[in-house]
Amino acid sequence: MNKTTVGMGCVTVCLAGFAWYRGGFGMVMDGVSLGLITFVRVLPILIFAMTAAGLIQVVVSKKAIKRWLGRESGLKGIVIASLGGALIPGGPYGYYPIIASLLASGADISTVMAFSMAKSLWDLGRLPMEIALLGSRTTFIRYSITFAFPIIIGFSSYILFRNCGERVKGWILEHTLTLEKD
Amino acid sequence: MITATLTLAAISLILFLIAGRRQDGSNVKGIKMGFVMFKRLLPLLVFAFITASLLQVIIPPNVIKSWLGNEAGFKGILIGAISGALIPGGPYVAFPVASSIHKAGASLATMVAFITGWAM
Repeated sequence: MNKTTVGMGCVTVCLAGFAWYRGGFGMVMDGVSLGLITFVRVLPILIFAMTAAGLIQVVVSKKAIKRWLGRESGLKGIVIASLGGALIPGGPYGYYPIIASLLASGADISTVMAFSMAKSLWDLGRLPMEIALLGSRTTFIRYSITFAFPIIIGFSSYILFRNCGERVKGWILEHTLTLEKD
Repeated sequence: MITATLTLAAISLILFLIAGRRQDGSNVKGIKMGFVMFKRLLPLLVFAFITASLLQVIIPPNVIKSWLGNEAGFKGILIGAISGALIPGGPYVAFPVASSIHKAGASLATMVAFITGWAM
């Protein structure tokens, strides 16, 4: 078990302790069972997301990822990644594995940041529900105010974290993916 | 949920077929890599899901709703963003809560802050 897992385990235990203090053993069990039920419900998405993440690495050539999403792709890469983020379906368990595989295959930190921001802010799959529940006016205001941020954040990461890519890639290879380092 | 699963399944299938056309076993290699990733992340994922659900039972959406009810101005926006970050669960939870805090009197700005805080 790596440090991240141990850290997350500690957070879980602390929260369970707090729940026990607030609502007794019943509240702890409520939380744990809700968590396990949610986990089982999203298991199919998780499995397909990991499968896709693994396959992306063998199918899409590193050269192509470097060209479209690597450091040298610049603003073009940031825009492409943002569009990809808006289109990719599923929750965090769906797109984080894909982000990890892109990073491991040579995508730059800036394009990956833009991708994950666009998933949060531009998510097209969420659009119908947002309009249905909050109304088109609120949805329009929210989209227009947050519209520029995936690009801005991608661009700022491009300037501020130019040397982070390799380190993050090393971490991912060590912790999640088995791709041979080359 | 089902749409997302099916879309990801379709993406996996297309990638699998493309990898299969190479006839060098890279399709099997890709699936193996995905499986190893899944195996390595499994304990972390289980903890993460339990943590998220514990947060949800400790701070139920109703409590968050009551924080936001009548707060206005900059304080409302700040509380909106923070409570958005704390709201667990998918759009099925967040949007109904957002809509009910709006009905309870929260301003449009608070609501936009709430949704953005949740989404990020």
